Amino acid sequence: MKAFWKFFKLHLLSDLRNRRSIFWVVIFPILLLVLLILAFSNLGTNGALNFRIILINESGASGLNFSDRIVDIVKSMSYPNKNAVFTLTEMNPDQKDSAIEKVLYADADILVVIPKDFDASIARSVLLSKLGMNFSPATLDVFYVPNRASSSLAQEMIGGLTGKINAFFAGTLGQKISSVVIKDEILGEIMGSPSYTDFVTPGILVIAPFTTGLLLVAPKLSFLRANRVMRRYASTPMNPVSFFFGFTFSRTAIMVIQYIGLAFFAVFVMRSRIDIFSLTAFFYYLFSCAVYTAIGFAVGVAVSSAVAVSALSSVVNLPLEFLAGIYFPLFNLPWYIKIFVYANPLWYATNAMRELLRVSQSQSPMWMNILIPGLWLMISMGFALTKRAAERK
Amino acid sequence: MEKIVEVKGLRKRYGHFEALKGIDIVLYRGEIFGFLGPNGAGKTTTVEILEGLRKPGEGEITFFNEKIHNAIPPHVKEKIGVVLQETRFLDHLKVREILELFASFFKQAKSPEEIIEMVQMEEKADDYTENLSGGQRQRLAIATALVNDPEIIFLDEPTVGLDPQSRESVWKLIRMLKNNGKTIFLTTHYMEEAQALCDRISIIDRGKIIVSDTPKNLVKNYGGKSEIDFRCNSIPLKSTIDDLKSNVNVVDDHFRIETDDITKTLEELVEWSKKFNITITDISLVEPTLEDVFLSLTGRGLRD
Amino acid sequence: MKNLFGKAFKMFIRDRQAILMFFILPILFMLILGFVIEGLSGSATGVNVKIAAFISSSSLENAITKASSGTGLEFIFTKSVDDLNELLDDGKAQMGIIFKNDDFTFVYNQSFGQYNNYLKILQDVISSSVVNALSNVKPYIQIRSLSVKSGNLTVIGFIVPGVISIAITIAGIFGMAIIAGNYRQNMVLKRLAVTPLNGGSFFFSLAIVRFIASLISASLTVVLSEIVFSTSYDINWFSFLIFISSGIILSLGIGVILALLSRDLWTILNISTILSITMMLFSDVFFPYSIMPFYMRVISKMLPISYFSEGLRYTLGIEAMHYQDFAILTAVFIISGIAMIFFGGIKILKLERK
Repeated sequence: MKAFWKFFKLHLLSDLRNRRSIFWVVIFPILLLVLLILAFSNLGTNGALNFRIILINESGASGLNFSDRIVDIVKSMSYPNKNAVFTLTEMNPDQKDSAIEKVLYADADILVVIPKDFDASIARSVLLSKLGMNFSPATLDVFYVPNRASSSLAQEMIGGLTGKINAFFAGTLGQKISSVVIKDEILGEIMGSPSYTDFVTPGILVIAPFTTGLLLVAPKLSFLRANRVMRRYASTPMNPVSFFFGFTFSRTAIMVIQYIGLAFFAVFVMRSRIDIFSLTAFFYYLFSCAVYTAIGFAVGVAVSSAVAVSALSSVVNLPLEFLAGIYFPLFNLPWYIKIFVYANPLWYATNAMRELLRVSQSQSPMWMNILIPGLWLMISMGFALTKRAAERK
Repeated sequence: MEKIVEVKGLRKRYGHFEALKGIDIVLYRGEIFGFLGPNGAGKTTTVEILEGLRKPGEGEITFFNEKIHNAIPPHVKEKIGVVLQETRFLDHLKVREILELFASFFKQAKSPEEIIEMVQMEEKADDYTENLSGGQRQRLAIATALVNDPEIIFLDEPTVGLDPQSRESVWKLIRMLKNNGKTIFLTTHYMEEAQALCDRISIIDRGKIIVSDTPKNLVKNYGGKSEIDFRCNSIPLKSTIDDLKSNVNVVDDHFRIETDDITKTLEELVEWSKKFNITITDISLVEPTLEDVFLSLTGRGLRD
Repeated sequence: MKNLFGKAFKMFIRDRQAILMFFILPILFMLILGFVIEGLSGSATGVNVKIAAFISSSSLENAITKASSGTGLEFIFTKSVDDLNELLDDGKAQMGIIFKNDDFTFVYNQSFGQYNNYLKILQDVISSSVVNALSNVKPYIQIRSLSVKSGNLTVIGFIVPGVISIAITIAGIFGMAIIAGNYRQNMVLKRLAVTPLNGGSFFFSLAIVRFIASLISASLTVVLSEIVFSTSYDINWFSFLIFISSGIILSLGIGVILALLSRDLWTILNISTILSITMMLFSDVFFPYSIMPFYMRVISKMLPISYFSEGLRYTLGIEAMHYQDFAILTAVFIISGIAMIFFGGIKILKLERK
């Protein structure tokens, strides 16, 4: 027991005094959370949309000003107006070719051309409509690049605009527009419109202990082995169990500190609405800590160089995290990628944490969220122990 | 004399390779026992079996009159201190903390302060281990072996890679331990170290102990002759030289006499120089070392 | 120099870690990121959006089917709300709509919660066109969409070059930073610093080997992505090889500069990790500039990777680019990359000589 406490205390101290450990334990997860939220939380929000649109009005002065109305509407939706979504450039009809080129060369997202006969065509339509006769609509030409996301999104926006303009014309002609209530809901959500911050926080609470398990277990074990410290321990009457639990619990203590720190940071600084007082989430977290520590043990036993372990794990980390659906949800993956997702303990942990922190329902059943990481735990530990036993011939 | 450790007919094989082919060792209380041999001779295997790091093969091991089966039991380990080759300890821990850690492994242990004083590391007690010099690190390693006040201490190549000054201070420490009544098992491939420290030596080669004795006897019996090299102020006549009983050879620009009894030969040389009024300049003595002992026993150098 | 290069080459092919970094990693990255983004692209870029719809009242059916066909979006009509939820759960649809007489409920998959913002644009488009159809509003104006780019290009084809540029940049930066950092930490550089060796040429020889490896792996990655994602590029191999070379040189240069920052390999790894994540998240590879908030757009414009992927798209025949812009970009990449390797290398050895 004496030795257990010493191991616990000293391994903890050794890491808390270490700048490198502090980086991976504290700074990295916080930085990652902040970066992710900075990158994604405002994506596509009102202030963020900014499509570069070129407008050419070929329809000359004809007394009718329908085309001018269109120009006005687009202008009202452009900067520097409030709630703008466009940056508008108006060009002359003789510059059409260069405008198309601009769209092609990605200097603009979209080109809208109001054709020559536009005003006349609308006038005719309105007239025919009043007479109750059929008419063909006036056409706005939209030039875009279909596979370029910003361009096709802009085209979509203009599409939405025409619906509103049509309704507006109908309204001016006295037609009654039926009113419909628009509601939205998010399937499987628990907290009510989770934001990106809410979505990603449980994932960060998975990455953080995983990184700790990999970088504060494996290289450390490699170090202890390479420098004969383990052998030195073995030559004393100390029971190896004291080392194992002292070391493991010191890792767990670090992970618990991470949990508390990160959860509070997410809730009080980043305004995440996760349920930080969820006991089940905390217990699941402890369970994952055991899994990641075991994986760390296995890696530490398998790879003897501490440098190699840390270099590789910091690189391999990223793909693993992508395949856990931490940053983005995972959909439509081919089977050979899906295998990695279904085998990835981080995926289950992320799912479970999202549910237990009351963000959204788990995409995998809860028993799987325990079973698969549990298998990882057992296989890793089994591997570490047999390899270790084999070394003590 | 009380036997602390006794090994009889120890064998160990790895697959088809027989690393130890029946080894006998006895350690008596209070002595420094040197275990010498080239790399791969079975030195490390033997030490690690005795330290409890490897399972013994066949043979009989007795610690403090208690037979050891398979593994060294904890109550025996309580009385053993171990210094491995070039041990490093956890980074970001202080010397004092490392000693506290090791103290916690034993039922009875000395206080870290006592040990720090013993190895004279008072000034370094609150330094982090990664900031210690090689010599200081080795002192710390020895310190960890002393926390349980062991009766026997295993030192495996304790001065490898140390500068002469650090080496000297480690030697001093080892001598002090002997004076405190500790039994010491020392492996080394530095001959001068074995010669300077050990009371008795066993030399192991190819899994077998080829000889065991005091360093003095080993050198005497297997080291071959001592050499006396000298020059004279003027070149003596051949007849003058022939007057010497010893066989004189001319090597490069000086004379060399090979002898079994260096004192006697020197006396003779002095007589001779007086007799012929020759002034001897640049006299130097080369005595055989354990290196020569090893060479003569195995036909190759220790560090080959 | 030739001798140095030979040694560098031998060291490289004997270094399992380097092989992993330069060959396995880019391919792994390309596959994983490619699929993850492709899976997302439906909603994140609005090009492939599939919408599950359930119509609760038969009186609406006509108007809605008519309106939906005019939006250019793919609608899947379901028989029940449960079916709709299932499509969403499986990711087979990115948005669901339950049409009732007086209200429309737009349902999003939970994990897509954060992309509502874009889907809400669609929500507006769809609801206004359905309302128009229900109210019998006649189309006074309509849109004729004209593609300025011919050819049969897919969304993934547009994304993959970005992914490749990320993979290659990360491999380059990490690969170079790790080896240089390793040498620094293990005093190899200190040993070299006492010889008359020029630091620039030493790092140059290290870089050339990695450059060749990277070039081979980049070409492999492109060819593999064509097979896996059926991207059907129109590759201009000449400009592709030149441009990808320039990008590799630049990333190796950045790696050398990072190694300059610290003697401690861990610190270098930490900085490289943060830099890689920043490059991934803030470049326009995942999301287009047009939906980025202002600060993100600024960061994105500062990251070389944005230009790397832009140029790569050009050489793969996906995007148009003015030739002089392309030439300038390539030149800037090459010159700054070489300068970083050369002067960075000299500077590192100088630091050791102090």
